[in-house]
Amino acid sequence: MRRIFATLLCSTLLACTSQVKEGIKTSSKPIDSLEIHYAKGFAVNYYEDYKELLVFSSDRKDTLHRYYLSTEAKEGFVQTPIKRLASLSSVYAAYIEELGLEESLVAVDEKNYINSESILKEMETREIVELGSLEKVNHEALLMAQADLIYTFGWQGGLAGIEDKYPNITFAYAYEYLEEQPLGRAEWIKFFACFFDKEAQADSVFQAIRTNYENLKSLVTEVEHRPKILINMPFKEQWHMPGGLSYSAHFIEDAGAYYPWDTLRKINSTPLDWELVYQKAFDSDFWINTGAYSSYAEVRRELPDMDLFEAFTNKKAFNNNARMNDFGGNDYWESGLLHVDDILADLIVIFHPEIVPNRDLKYYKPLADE
Amino acid sequence: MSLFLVVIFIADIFLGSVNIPLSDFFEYLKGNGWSHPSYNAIIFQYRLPKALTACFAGSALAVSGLLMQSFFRNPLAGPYVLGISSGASLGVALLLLLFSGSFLLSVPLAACIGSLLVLIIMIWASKRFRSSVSLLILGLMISYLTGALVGVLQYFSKSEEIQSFVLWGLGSFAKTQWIDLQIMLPVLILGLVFAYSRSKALNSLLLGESYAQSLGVSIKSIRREILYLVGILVAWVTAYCGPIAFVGMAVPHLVRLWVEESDHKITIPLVALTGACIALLCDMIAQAPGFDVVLPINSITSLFGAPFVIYYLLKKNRLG
Repeated sequence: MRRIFATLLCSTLLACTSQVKEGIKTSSKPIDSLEIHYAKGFAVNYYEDYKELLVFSSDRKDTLHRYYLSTEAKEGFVQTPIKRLASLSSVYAAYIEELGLEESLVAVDEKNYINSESILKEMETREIVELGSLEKVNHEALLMAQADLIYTFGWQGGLAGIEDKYPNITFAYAYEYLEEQPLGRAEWIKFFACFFDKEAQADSVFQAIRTNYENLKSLVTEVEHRPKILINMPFKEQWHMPGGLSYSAHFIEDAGAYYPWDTLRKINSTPLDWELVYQKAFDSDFWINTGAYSSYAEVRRELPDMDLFEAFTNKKAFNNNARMNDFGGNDYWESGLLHVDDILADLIVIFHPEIVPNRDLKYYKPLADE
Repeated sequence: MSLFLVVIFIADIFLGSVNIPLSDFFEYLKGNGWSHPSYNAIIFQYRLPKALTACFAGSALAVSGLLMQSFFRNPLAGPYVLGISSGASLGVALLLLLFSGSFLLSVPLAACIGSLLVLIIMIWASKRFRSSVSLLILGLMISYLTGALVGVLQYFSKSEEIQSFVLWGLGSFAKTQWIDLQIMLPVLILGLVFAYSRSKALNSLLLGESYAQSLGVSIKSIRREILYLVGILVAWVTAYCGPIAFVGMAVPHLVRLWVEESDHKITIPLVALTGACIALLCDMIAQAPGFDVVLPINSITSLFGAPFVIYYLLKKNRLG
């Protein structure tokens, strides 16, 4: 009995270890690599007849995923360009639109959340499968869609179960949300483009965004008054404050404002007690990203403590939901986080209206009274 | 006990993530103002209402627990066995998950409606069921039913909505404002006073229903009174604070561990005071003074409540 048990245990252990995929041995040195300016989460190396895509962990110390892409069908390689694409988050709709991949799109997570007009138009002309969100993917629909590649956001060790079920599908894990710089986030368009051999097109999209962003940023680098900004909303007594290295903090700084938690030297959010936030930010000039709330009346009903913050009583609250569709799909998280220059422009309009006098808000809008 | 309550109450107000020195408070009393402009609001708008809420919610839940234990003559009964918290959570789930909170209804109101609906069912059932045990089972079944419905709702909801629902379920004393307290406290105080005034009838229940009847106590009316009372107290607390685990069940045991007394004239005030102290103590621990974060109050009450019940069971078994 004990021997049977030991054998079982050993084989289970073996089965677990053998799941770690062996990388393809690369004998030669890369002949080139993709130029990446801001993003730190991925790298692309070019070899004679294939390219290697690396995705790194948040501390950039480990390689989480390795993809080998080749234009020829070979064992262990993903054949590019991808013909059938599934996207497991509407966040990627903007990349798909900018790279002109609508025709390859065969499945999305939830159709209702998508704002991209070109994809909506595509959905009118032909059937695109709806899969449901990541944790509750409809497996039969996924099989039916016959996708070659799935764009999905990665979290370390979270998807292994699903991935093993579909040996024929490549899972492209994006960690763009872990980037420190807004431009770094936008630069992930290059990662997506690799699977379609469209790096050059991605680069030109990115360069335009970058130039615009840097120009806008230079408008406010010299401002004398940097308004204090309160961001997000509390859940109960807890406030999840983005780290000082997060893209949210960089957005605020690049827009010529002061983020009171810029000393938190990390990317991830930190849960902070309501009192601490109040002590540091009760006199904030603006409150942005008010989450589910669109009006002062709503906030007063659900979060009455907000009445103690000056940004709230002075009616200086703005939410990033100006482009939200009827089903709650917010374009800020879709096209906004690719066109980070437009978000920056919005923030400058809010914080320093005198600097950009004739510009309207795109993704942001002030909270309504009622 | 009362002195202990006062000490804990003051400690709760002066301990928190933001360290406000006591000397600052004395300066304020002298009319010199605070050393930081945010302190005034933190003390008077945030910590004081929270401490008062904890105090009265703790008493109400503990007394409800005691009443339920006398009612069912079962030491493991608690304020939530009637399925009232499940009703509240269904109400809140419907509001937050199905209507995405867009409905013109606040969370406390939804919770209150949900729990009162369950209460009405329980009262209707109490007229039909002879035995208290059937009522206990009905309460459990209602919990399962609502739990299943909430599960289905959660499955089809967006993660942001689930988050706000889960957060409600974790319970909190900090959501109440002065204006809420004006509605909440009078009801709870009235309920507690009423419970005290029925001590004699409650005592007779402990001796068994037939004995009570021989004393001239109308079993039917006292049973209905207790149901109404506990229902309203628990619905009210749950509406404002979310379900708060274990206080209601553990506190009566705690009191029994240290006073060998079953007279409700003594146990009700004792349980109410202890409930307030325990709730304040849990709130203080949840505040984690000196740390930047707050812990969910429910985890704290369970973490400290569960060992008490286990200890009680062990002790009782050893005696038996």
